[in-house]
Amino acid sequence: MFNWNIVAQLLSLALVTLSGPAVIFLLYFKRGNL
Amino acid sequence: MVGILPLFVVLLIIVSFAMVVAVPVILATPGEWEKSQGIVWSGAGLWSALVILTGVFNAVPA
Repeated sequence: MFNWNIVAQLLSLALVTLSGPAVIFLLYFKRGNL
Repeated sequence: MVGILPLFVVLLIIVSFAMVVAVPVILATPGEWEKSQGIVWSGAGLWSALVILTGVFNAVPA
């Protein structure tokens, strides 16, 4: 019933999409070279 | 019975995400590269090992 393939695909998409902004925010909080 | 292959795949996904976030942060933070380049090297080694292991266990099931 629950389509685990779609869940995994959406989770992967979220991981890839959020990794970019995560780097920016981490560099901001660590006062890195933006 | 869940084989060892999905474990390697999940580990590879986790390590890949950690590396994708950690490496640019370490490289772009002043002074951080000298402090934590060990993390980058061991992360790269672990990632490569997981790629090889996943390939091997995919071809030859344990």
